[in-house]
Amino acid sequence: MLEGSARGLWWLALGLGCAPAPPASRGNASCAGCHPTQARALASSRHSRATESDLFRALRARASTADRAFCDGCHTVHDVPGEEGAGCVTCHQAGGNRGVSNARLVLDLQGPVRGPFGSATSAHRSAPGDFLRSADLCGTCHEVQGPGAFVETPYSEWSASPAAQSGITCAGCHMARSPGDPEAPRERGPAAVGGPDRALTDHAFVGPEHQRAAELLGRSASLAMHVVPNGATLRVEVTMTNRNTAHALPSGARFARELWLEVRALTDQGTTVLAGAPEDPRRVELGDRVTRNGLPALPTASDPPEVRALPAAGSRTVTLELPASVGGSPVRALTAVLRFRRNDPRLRQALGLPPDPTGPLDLAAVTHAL
Amino acid sequence: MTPHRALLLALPAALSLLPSLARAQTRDGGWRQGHPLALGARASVRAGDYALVGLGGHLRVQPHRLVTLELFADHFVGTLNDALRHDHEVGGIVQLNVLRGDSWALYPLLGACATLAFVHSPQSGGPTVNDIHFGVRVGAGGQVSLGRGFGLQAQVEALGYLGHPFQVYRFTAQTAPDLALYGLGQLTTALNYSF
Repeated sequence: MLEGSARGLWWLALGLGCAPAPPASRGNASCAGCHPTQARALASSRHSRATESDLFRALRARASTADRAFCDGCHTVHDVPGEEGAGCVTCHQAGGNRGVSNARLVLDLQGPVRGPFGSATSAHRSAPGDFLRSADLCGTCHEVQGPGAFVETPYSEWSASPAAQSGITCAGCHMARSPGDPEAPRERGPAAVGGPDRALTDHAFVGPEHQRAAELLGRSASLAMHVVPNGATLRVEVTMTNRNTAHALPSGARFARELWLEVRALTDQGTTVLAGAPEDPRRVELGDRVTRNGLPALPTASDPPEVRALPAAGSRTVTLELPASVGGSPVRALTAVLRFRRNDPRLRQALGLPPDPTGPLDLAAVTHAL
Repeated sequence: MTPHRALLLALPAALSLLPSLARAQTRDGGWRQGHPLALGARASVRAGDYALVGLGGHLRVQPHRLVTLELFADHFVGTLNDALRHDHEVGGIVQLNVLRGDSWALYPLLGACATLAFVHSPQSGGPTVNDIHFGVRVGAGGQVSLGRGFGLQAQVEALGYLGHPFQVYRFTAQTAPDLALYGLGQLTTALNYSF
């Protein structure tokens, strides 16, 4: 953990009975030697790549100087050459905040390394960290109040949620071995090389942009469908339910997400999308609607967004009138699918970005045979 | 022992010394009327919208027998939602010595002050926030000679402050964006020496 001559000085000082704080090395690499499992997981996380997103970079480039500094408060909090985003010290040497929002994190780089156990080690001073275990730490960055459409409210949603009432924190789902399942048994192993076996947390922080997003999002929603034939049309009621009891669906950077309901008809001729195609005026969407004076706008210059997300553990029923036949073939079955794309293609196009290579994920589906 | 508890213990100890000083009063009253300058050490307790105890000092100037100007500096400590709060205050008051004897005086007072207030999060390594509060104060007090140039002074004041509220809870310490008014009552005792 300590490098070269610094280690020598540390032991010298220890021998003199006046052990100083170890040098405040802020790089993840300095932690990886003793905590390789956590370092590998963190390297796969969006936390350690918070500036990699081309969407983020394009939006940041359009922001004012003051707003860029605002963005960087969370996206480059690590501030170590060669490493981006949030790193080990961002959480493990956080002392508190000046408000649970807008990157008002207070780092205590001269203080001990906070952990869930605070076990003593020769590598660094240690202390148990209540702040580390709290949702307040996460909320310091995952609660954003503007400018424009940059309104992200996961922490305040969680604060009022059933999950908060039952004591489930952000880490309960996003650091679970099985993302989104706080009840899943945690992996056991040493938290540091040579240490005792413990229940470990997953430092991949799986979220909607992580490579394992499907594991998390697959638990997030359910659909129910009721179909009533009505002459030449079908009256279709689809109920969308957010199974997540901790925050809305979608949450976080909703202005960038595309989450929509698609209804497909199965006929003798094949499968046809009846509702939810990109140009369909009846398209049901759950991502934020970002406009300026009623016209589509970039989030960097928008009015406060229209929130269409499902609240935590909430449901919404939509009714669609759809044709009972397609091209003369009667509809044999209807399938409703809730689909998710991490970047809304319309936003990417407006920013001059190529289409996101990541395809849509199907969060939930239900089929009704006629 | 926390600093404000130490002050709470020190205050009665200082007051217990006063009777012996009073017995040492000389026939000239020790009040030294006409001496225009005095220095004093003081202890205060304030309570209301928040509570603090403090120690400080003052310089008293008497340009006229009916008027005393007092410039003071006080340091207060206390807790706010388990966080340590310490205030550092400077200000001045005007006393009108409307009732006055050879070795005593009673007076109404009016003053103003400015306070630099700090709050330290209860979390180790947590945030510290500060703000400047401006206040006005009215009250009444009295002073009595203890002899040999020493005098005992006590006064009660109503204080009104304008400043940003501190918000402290669990891991957070911050100042709210909107100004707020605070009301407090303060009891101050002081030991003065006239030159």
